[in-house]
Amino acid sequence: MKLKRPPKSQWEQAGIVTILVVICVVIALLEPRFLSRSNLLNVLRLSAILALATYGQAVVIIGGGIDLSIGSIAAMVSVLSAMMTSTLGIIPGFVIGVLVGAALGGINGVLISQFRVPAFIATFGMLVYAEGIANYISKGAPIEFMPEGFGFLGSGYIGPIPVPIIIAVMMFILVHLLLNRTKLGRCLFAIGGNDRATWLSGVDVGKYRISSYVSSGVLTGLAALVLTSRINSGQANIAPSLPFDTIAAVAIGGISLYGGEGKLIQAVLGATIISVINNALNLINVSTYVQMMVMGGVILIAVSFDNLRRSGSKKSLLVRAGEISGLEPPK
Amino acid sequence: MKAIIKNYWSSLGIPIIIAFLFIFFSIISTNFATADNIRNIMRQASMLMLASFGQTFAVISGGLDISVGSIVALASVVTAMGTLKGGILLGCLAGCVCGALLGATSGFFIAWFRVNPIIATIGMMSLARGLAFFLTDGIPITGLPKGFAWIGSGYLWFIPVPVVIALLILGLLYFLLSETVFGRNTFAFGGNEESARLAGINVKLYKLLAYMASGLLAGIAAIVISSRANSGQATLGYGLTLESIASVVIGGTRLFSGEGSVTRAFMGAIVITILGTGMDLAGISPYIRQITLGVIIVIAVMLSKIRSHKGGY
Repeated sequence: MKLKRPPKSQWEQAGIVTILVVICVVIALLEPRFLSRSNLLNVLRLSAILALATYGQAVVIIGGGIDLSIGSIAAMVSVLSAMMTSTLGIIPGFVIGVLVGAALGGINGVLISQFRVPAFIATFGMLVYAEGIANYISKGAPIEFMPEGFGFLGSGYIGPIPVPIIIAVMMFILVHLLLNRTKLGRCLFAIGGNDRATWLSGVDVGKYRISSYVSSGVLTGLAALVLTSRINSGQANIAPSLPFDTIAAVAIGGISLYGGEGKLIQAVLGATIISVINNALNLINVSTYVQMMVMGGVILIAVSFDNLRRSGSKKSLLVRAGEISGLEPPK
Repeated sequence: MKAIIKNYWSSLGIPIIIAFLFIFFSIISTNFATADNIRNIMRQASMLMLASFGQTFAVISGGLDISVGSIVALASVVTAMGTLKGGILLGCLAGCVCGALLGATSGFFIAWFRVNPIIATIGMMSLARGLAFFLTDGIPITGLPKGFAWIGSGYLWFIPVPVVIALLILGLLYFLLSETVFGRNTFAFGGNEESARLAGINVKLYKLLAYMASGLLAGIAAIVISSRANSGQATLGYGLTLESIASVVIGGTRLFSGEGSVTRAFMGAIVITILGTGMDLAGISPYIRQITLGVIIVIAVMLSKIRSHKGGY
């Protein structure tokens, strides 16, 4: 079924690409080091990692939810996979990492759909207690001394291309097919647009919701594995700002935070912009503190802008009131 | 029968929990039930109470304030700087204004640009924390005048000053929220914005005011906390956000429903403080404490949904 889109969506995409190009040009002028081969490869690697996590966030947001727990799911996956790698080997370690991500995502999904906990609270809670668990298990210290070959996922190459990029592209294809060619995808778009109506038409909203959060967990787990591999150690604080970065990426990319619409390429563009900005700030030697401030500002501005753009959409009074008052989703 | 239990639980539930926790921790740790520790608990609880009162405003408006801890950090730095420049009074004023301004900024984005409150306050969280570190490079601001420490560590007769402040503000807010037009209007739109707007209430303004109040109370909390630490630090307030949400939720307030109660936040803060202090004294890892808080929040929200039977789709 075709859902309502904001007008001129092709123009919007062209607009975002333009913004990305402009930002890159400005940075290159200010700091020529940006264009160095090693730096560009680094940016591509990091944006591939962020893109993986952003795919997950995009899937959840399209389905009408949100996932604030991404940073702590990454923490758990990083710590557990590193620990398991030390004892069981690299492949089992990675597999366990993905499974942990799926399991945590599943917990989120069940809490949200079966127990009616609002998505913000369930995932915020997971953000808090999963970080605690990850820290507790790792005793607050990084897990080092990984076996040879562990770093392949994060730092290796297949031919001339860094592995993370290959993974990001592969997952892009997979998730794109999932969103646009499967029942799960189509139902997620419907649920995000109007979950009550979708439920009334007989769709098992709960099942698909849980699936979206499991997908997010798996994709976050992948991102965490690549990152863990890159720094060759498992840490609880591997990606503390990940949930915020992914939300900012989704918003900048132009996907509505209300759900019901979105193209995966927007997630890629958003993730790239965020990574480029982060990299630029690093290059200009701006302190971490200012980076935090900038990211905070970016989130506020990006989402405001997005809302302003969308204020013309004619959602029914009932649906709007429901959104604003935070009515819970049906089972 | 169920109805009777529900009724009693609503009013007696939390005092029962407080008593239970108190007894529990006294058994586990010998030095829990000492006069010293109780005074300490009262002091700690007062600081959390102030932050929780602010969080209550955000909850009444139908959202949440994730930036509480970070506002405390920045307000603490501003207070210290102001005190060094122009005396304690100026410092405190600066801290309050800082908190109020930050809250108003969040409120502005939430009300006028319809940014989701949680996302907006997350943005503010990064902004405020970053600015606090930027101003101080992470180094505490010390050398504050002698009188400053009295606010956080002193006594009025035999009562710790923070307790007096918290109780005074509790009384003020209770009156404000239940007896004034401002209070009535503040409660009006959290549950159903559209009907409040149709009733003629300036929803945008009140939303902004709610977050401004939250920021202001965070600023006041910052003054007390900085005074206790006798310095302004950008590292303060970590965990305060979480604890303030936990206090509100354990107090029995339902989230995203336009309800809230400063008295419930008051009692919730006592529970959370006893829990935290008790765990510390018993030598339980701070990570376990974090896990407990997160789980408590989720479970409490779950229970409140079950209790309310809301949303019969």
